[in-house]
Amino acid sequence: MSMFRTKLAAEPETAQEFEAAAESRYWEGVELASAGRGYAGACLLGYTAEILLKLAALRLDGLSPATLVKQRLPPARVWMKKHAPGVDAESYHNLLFWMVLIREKRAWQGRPLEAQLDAMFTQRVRRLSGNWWVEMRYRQSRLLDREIHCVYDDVSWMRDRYIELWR
Amino acid sequence: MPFAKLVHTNHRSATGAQLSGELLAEWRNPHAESREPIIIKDGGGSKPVHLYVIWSAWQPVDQLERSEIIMDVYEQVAGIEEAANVTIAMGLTEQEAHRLGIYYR
Repeated sequence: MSMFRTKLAAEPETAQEFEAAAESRYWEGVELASAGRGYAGACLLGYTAEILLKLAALRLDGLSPATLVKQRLPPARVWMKKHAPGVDAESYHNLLFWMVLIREKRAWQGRPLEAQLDAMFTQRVRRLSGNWWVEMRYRQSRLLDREIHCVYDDVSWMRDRYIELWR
Repeated sequence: MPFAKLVHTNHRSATGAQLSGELLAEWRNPHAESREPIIIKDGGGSKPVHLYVIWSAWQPVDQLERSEIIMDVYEQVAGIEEAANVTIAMGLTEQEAHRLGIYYR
């Protein structure tokens, strides 16, 4: 009998699947939020940001579309331990961890983000991190309409600027 | 009342913890007669380091934990400076390696 989990586990996820998943989570999140399911929508939109930030950070190390992703996460954690200790990866879900990694790695590579983009990036991720947290999935709560709008706005910004974050 | 300091440890499955110990011992003191684990270090110098550990014992351990184990062991063996140059830490069984087109001799 074919089980969904077994089937998925047999094919480790590649960067291109991550990108496709980010796009799916984005539109699912938008649909839910616009149908009045703001909390569920924001949860999925946050996942979009998490995936995109992860990919952008790993792209800086030359991750290509067909490459497996998971085996690059622990090396990223160790790199951060050396270059920006104190930022917890929170099992690789922490948006701030990925933001700091992108900024630190670009600086280390001698190609920091252009000042205006960097300021917007920092501002957006910090705000999103204040409205979205992976632990939300275990909580029974509500988001205010303006908070949902901020999540939508920040994630949409990241989706629009994703390539600029690593190129 | 005595006070104590909390010790932070990596959360490993029982199998993962055992493999971590075995891998560390093998990395520090490779046995010519043992067929596995096969440790491959690719790159280095000005290039990023890719680590591959081919080992049939990985079978019950998920991909992320395998990678965590390799990084933790490599950090202990080579130090944080060296470990920070690693961009891929991949634990594979022989069959998985062949499926992914990773060949070695």
